[in-house]
Amino acid sequence: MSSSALFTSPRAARGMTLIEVMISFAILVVGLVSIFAILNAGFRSHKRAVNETEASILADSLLSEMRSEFAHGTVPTSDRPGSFHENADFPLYKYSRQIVALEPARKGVNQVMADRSYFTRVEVRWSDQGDDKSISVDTVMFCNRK
Amino acid sequence: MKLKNANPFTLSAPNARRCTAGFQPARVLTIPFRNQSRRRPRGLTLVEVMITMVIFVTLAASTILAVKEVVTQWSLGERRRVAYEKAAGCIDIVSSDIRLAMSHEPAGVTDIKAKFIADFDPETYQQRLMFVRTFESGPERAITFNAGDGIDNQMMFKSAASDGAQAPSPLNVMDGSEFTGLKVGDFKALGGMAMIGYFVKDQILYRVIRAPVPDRMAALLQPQNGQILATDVLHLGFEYWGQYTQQWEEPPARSKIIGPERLWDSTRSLTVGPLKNFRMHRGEDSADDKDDDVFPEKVRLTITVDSPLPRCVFTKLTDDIGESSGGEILVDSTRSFPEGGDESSYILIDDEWMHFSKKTSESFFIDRRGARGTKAVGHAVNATIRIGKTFRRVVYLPNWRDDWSIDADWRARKEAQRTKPRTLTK
Repeated sequence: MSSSALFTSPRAARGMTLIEVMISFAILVVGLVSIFAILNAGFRSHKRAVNETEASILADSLLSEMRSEFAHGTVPTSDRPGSFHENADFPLYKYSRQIVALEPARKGVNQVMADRSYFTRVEVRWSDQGDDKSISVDTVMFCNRK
Repeated sequence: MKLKNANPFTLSAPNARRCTAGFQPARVLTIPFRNQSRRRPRGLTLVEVMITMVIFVTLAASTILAVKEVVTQWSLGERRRVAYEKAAGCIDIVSSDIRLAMSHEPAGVTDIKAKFIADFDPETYQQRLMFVRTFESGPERAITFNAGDGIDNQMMFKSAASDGAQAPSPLNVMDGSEFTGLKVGDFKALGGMAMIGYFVKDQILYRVIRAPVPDRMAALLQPQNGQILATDVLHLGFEYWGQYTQQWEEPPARSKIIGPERLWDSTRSLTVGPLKNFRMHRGEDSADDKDDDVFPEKVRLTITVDSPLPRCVFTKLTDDIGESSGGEILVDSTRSFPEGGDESSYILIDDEWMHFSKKTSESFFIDRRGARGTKAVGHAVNATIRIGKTFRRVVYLPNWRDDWSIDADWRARKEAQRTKPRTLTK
C-alpha cells in the first residue's frame, strides 16, 4: 500500500484515455508528415538543380556545335517550334534549336553585321515526374560568310 | 489506512529504539492520500494498452522505414551532387582552355613548333592533351606575365669597356651607366602564351600550366608539375573533329564513314609513339613548316567522375576473370547499376573499362573488353567495380585549321618553295 502510494499520484491514477493517446498520435503524425513534406520539397529542388546542370552542359555543347556551323558559313537548320530531338549523350533530355536572322531594324546598324547576325535559341527539355521542365539559352551569333 | 496522528511527519518509534547511541533515528515521510482507500487506481486496461501498442508499433515501423528511405535518397542525391559539381567544374576549366588554344603565334614568336598534341600516356594508356593557349586576361595572366620570354637576355647589360671585354656580372652593375634597360617584354612570356596539359593518373585529373612554353611538353605531364583539378576521375577522353571526320559516333568496323580522331599532332611530323599513325601525318620535314599545321575544329570531352569509395555505386568480383574472358562475369550485386546496352554502360574493373550489354542481379554480360582505350588484363576476385557518371561536352575551337595541302594550287606553291634552294643557312 505504501509503495503504491509512492508511485501513484492522484492525477496519474486515472491513466490516459484512448482518446488522449490517439490525439497525441495524431499530432505526432501531423508533425512527421510535415517534416517529410519539407524533405520531399528539398529532394525535388535538389533534383531540379541536378537536371539543370546537366541540361546546361548539353545546351553549351549544342551552342558550340552551332558556332562551328556558323564558322563554316552555314546556317544551322531551325527546328519547328515544339519539335524536339534526342541526344545520344544525354538520353533523358530533348532539345530544340531556333535560328532567326536578325533584321537591321534601326538606322545606324552596320548593314553587313546585321545581315550576318542570327538570333539563336537552344531549348532543352526534360520530364520530372510527369512535369515538363525546360531551360533555354539565347544568344546572337555571327555567320562567317554570307 | 487511517492515520492516527494529524501531523503528517511522524517519527517511527521502533526504529529509533533499535538504533545505537549517537545515530539520529531515521525520519519516514508519509503523505496522506484521501482517495486511496475509497477508489482503486485505474490505469489503462489491457485492451487499451494493446491497441496503443499496435498503433505505436505501426507508426514507429513506418516512420523508421520512411526515415531510412529518406536517408538513402539523401545520400544518393548527395553523391550525385558531388559528381555533378565536380564534372561541371572540370568541364568549365577544360573547355575554356581548349577554346583559347592557339594555332598561329603572334608576330615575332617563332620558337613554338608543337602547339596541339594529343596522345596516350605510355604507362597508363590514358589519353592526354597538351596545347598552347594565350592569356590576355584573367587570373592566370600573372603566370604568363612574369614567366620571362624563355630567351637568354645577354644584351641586357652593356659593358662600359670596349667591345670584346668581359661583361661584368649583372649582380655588380646595377648602376645606370651599365644598365641598358630592361624591356617589360622580357618578363612576359612571348605572346602571353602558356602550355596547358591535361592528364589523369591514379584517378586524379591534373592540369599542367607552364610558361614560357617548354620545348618538351610531354615530359612535363607528371603529377609533381600539375595542379589537381579533381579526384575520382575514372575516365577522361578527348575526341577530335578533324577535316575528315563525318560523325561523332564510332563507325562500325570496315565502314567507309570516318569517326572522330583520338590522336592529334598539329605539326604532322612527330614519329614518336602512336603519333605516326595520325591520319594527317606527313613526315619529318613537315616540322618546320608552320603553314601545314592542323588543328581540330571541335573537341568532344568525355569525363566520368564518381564520389570517393565507399560512398559510391560499386560492387566486387566474386570470381577471378582472365585476360580475354568475355560473357558473363559474376559480382556481389548489380544494384544501382544501369541496365546495360547503351552508351553509358561501361564498368571499370581495376584499371580496365568494359562495356556490358545486360545485367542480372548478380552478373554483367560483357560484350567489349579493354574499352575506352584501356588494356584488357586479368582481374582477381574481390576487385572493385565502379561506374561513375559520364558527362560529355563539345567545345568549338575558333582557331581551328584544316590541312590546306589538299588544295592543288596551294600544294604547288608549297612544293615550289620547298624545292627552291635556300639562301639563308644557320
